[in-house]
Amino acid sequence: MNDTIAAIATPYGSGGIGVIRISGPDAMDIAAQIFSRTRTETATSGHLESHRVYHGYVRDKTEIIDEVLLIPMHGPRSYTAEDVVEIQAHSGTIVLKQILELLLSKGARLSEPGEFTKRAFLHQRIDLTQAEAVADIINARSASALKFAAAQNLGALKQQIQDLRNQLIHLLAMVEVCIDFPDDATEVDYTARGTDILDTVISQCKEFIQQHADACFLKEGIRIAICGKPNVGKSSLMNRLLTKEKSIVTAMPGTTRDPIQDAVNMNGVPFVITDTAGIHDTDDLVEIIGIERAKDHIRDADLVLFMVEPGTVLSAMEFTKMFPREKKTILVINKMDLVYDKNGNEKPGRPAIPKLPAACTDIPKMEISALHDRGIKELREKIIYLCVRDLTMDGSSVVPNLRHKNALTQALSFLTSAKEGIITGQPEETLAIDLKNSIDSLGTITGETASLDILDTIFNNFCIGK
Amino acid sequence: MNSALNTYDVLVVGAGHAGCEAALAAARMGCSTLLLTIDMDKIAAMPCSPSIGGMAKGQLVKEIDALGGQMAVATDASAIQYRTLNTRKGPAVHSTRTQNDKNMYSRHMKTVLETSPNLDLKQAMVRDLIVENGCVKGIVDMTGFAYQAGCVVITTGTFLRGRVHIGATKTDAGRAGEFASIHLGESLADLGFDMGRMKTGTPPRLHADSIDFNSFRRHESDPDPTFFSFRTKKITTPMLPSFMGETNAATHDIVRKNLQYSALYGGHIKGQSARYCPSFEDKIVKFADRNSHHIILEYEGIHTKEIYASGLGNSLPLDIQYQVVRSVKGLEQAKIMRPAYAIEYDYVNPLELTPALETKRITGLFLAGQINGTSGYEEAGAQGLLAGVNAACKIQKRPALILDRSQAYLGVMVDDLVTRGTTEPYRMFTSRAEYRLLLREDNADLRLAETAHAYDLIDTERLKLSREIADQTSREIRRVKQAVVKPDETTNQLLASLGSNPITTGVKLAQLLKRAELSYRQLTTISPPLEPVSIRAATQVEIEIKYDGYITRQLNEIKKFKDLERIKIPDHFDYARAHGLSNEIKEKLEKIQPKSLGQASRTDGMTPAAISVLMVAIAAYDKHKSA
Repeated sequence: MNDTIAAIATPYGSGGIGVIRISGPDAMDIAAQIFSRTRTETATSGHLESHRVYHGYVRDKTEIIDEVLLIPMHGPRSYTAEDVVEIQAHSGTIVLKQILELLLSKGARLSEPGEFTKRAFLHQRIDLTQAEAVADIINARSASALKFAAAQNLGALKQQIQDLRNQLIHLLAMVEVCIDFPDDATEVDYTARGTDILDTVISQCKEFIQQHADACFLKEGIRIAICGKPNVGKSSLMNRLLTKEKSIVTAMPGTTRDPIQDAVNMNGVPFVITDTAGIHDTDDLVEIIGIERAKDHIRDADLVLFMVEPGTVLSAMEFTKMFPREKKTILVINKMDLVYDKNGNEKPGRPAIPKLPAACTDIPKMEISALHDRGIKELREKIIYLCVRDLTMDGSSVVPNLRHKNALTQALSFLTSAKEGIITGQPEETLAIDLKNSIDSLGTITGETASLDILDTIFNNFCIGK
Repeated sequence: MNSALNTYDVLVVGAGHAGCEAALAAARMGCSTLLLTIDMDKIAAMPCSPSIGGMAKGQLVKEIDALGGQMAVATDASAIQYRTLNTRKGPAVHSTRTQNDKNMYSRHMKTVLETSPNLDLKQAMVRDLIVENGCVKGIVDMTGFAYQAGCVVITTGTFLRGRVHIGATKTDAGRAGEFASIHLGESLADLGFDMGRMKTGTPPRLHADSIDFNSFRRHESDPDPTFFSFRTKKITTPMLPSFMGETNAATHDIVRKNLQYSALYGGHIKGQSARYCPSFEDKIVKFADRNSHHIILEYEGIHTKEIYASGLGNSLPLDIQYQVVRSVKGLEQAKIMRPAYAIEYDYVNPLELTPALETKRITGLFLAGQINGTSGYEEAGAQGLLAGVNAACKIQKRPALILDRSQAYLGVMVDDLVTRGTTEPYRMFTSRAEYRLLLREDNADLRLAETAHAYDLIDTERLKLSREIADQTSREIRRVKQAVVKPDETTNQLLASLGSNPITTGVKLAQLLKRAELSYRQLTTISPPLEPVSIRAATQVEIEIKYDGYITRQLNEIKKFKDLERIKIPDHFDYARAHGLSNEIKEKLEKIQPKSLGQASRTDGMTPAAISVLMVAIAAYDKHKSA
């Protein structure tokens, strides 16, 4: 218990306030590294008094993550009887997770199930009669973690990690056989095979870490930004997608200044939709600020709905300026009611369908009328198809959680070192340590913590004997 | 009768490698000690290979030496070939291996035993243990003569109900031609010990004059050997070569055709054999796609023509052994002086033991060597030493000597045995040691000097020497980490001459030393130490700097490991009442009775949650007791 642990202490996804708890000898130091009492400081200056409530900011270097209340409690006057810091932040999964990750990066360790209670008990903070209750809490938390894992279809993840781990164990056996049986292993050469295995495992680990990042945004909601020239109908579309009135809809350009955001659930997938201010040239200072923010939102979005209307002519120049690149985009042509009547017949004297630069031809196009609720259903289907297709695949998709991600990141650093070791011809005994460490890191995901019997693998694969 | 004649503090049964070290250690600690052997002419015999050390075993021998044992000294006194294995790898996995004159080794050990204060050496075969109220009181020999002792160490090797197999022929024997210890085996079984059978074997011995050595590749001794004992300054024995050859398709055909006549494949053997040391029949069956296996011919001594044919161990009838041997190139005319044979013997499940190697069932009774399911002279010697020390500790009411996994290979071995047990003859491998970079041959005495001295196993002189080396090492490491090498012409000329890239700015000496192509000695020419550094210290500096990052990593792991080791589980802890543990885990822990949470965590099937729950249960127990 010489290390410092941290965890989100409030239930997942409920309540307006989320609490993160840190406990252990370095709790104060670690908290001080990410907390500042003013917007301008980058870390806590001065001593944090015990049992006082501090108002301030959690920041990652210069970026402010959240405005928080922080309560330091010196042991033994705390829940665990160790030094404890509690941070009350705004309860968004992403915010809490970001703060937690920040704490982990400063040297805290993600707590095991029931570990705070266990520490409280071991420090005699909790009565002896509660020992059994503590054991139950540990078991219950482990069991619920398992259940949660099952619900997330983690069996598949474990299986895949297990496969990677087995490949590493095989490689380690090749290395160990060279060490322990130098006379038997004269023909064992692990360099080519080892590089292959490490490449595979490294890229798989990276992919899992990416999946974790993807899953995070899935939980928080897929971000959609609606953009386009003023008065093209962005707010109307947003209202259609949300199926409620939110933006003030007028026929006057520039009505929407601040981006307006709201969340909606489509086919069980959470989306966060942002109605951006119209992007166009303006001198209005307030609007300029709004437009800059709109650009930020477009940059952060997972999907952009780029709106135009019949009669629009976009020059290549305008296109370059306005069009988000390297983004999933749907070109939404609104106000199609001006072109067709409700029976689908062309109206006389209708405006021309927008002429777009050649670069636009590959972008999916949807024709709608936000005003008349035409094409909205199809647009939703298109959105879900484009966003979720990559994530759900065939139901066997795996979503590594934060604990997994940490283990994977750790494994990755050892694997990289191992690969460098093979390439530069490092001696087997240090290569073996890198491999062993990465196998152990992956083992924390698959749940194999018992000491590894590498000898079994050796005897099953190599001809060993006097 | 005068009680001085038959009363001792410590009584050791069996004078093999375990028994000799056990008796010497107990006597060295001041206990009156009796060592009993079935045959006074077979003290510290090498019934299998005429060799000591090898991978991980070399480390054990060095640790025996560091703990004041005799094996390393005896090895140096009888060595006829030295080789350092794995020299192409780093120093952590360098291991020394010698070939030895078997008779010289045995004679050396016998003389040491005979001249040791506090030690009596006697010939007797033990029939029964005397046990009263769960405590051992002594033994009775085959003639009915009784010896009283406070502690008894049993080191029976392959003798406990030993049975030798050659083809379908079975003979009760402790080794070919020697009495088996039948009664003692029954006595232990009657006491309720969980016992099993293991199997080992030995290859044939050939007459040197019947071998065409020109058909083999000759291996000479290392020209400038590192001795086993840190105390050995020079050796006087001549160095002899060994010879490397291989079997061929014809050899394998003969074995394949005659498999049913082998004791192993004819259904005569029930004992568990070791995977790492397969009988030749086993190699043919398990690695069917190979048409050749190595053979090494080694001298059994300076004054004998007997040649040990490593790689040809089998349990076939003698006529087929002849066919097998003579099918090998260079052995066409070979004469077999002693046939190969397999042997089965009793062992006691090592889960019966505490980490002090005392049985949990009977107080004062210690077991060491093959009786614990291990294999090898070195494994036996190391356990013997530990059992001897702990028997003496028991007599002198001192805390037991328990080495943990971060201190010594001996600690790894004993922890493996008493925590996980073994299903095949247990041999030491470096891959069993988590902290391999720290458990090296070159630092065995530095690692263990303080412990050895605290238990009166080495004198103050040796402790001082170790401390000096350690102090010098840490001072010089500090300097090497601080000293800056300037990018001047002398430096870059030296670097160029050693095939190393030049430096353009000032660089820490340690940084340069980390380069694979540069050695400490070369670099001291441009950045000499302030005071002379001994060769031993220089070696330590070089190794610690070269392994720097990895050693730090291992030290961090050791810190975590020790956190769990420090949480002691009270004796007779009631697992049945430990709330929240599965019944399966409870039963296992009940049997193993781990001494610490760390040891418990290494039990098969332990989960992180179970470890947490156990930690809570221990704390509750402690508080309850103190309340």
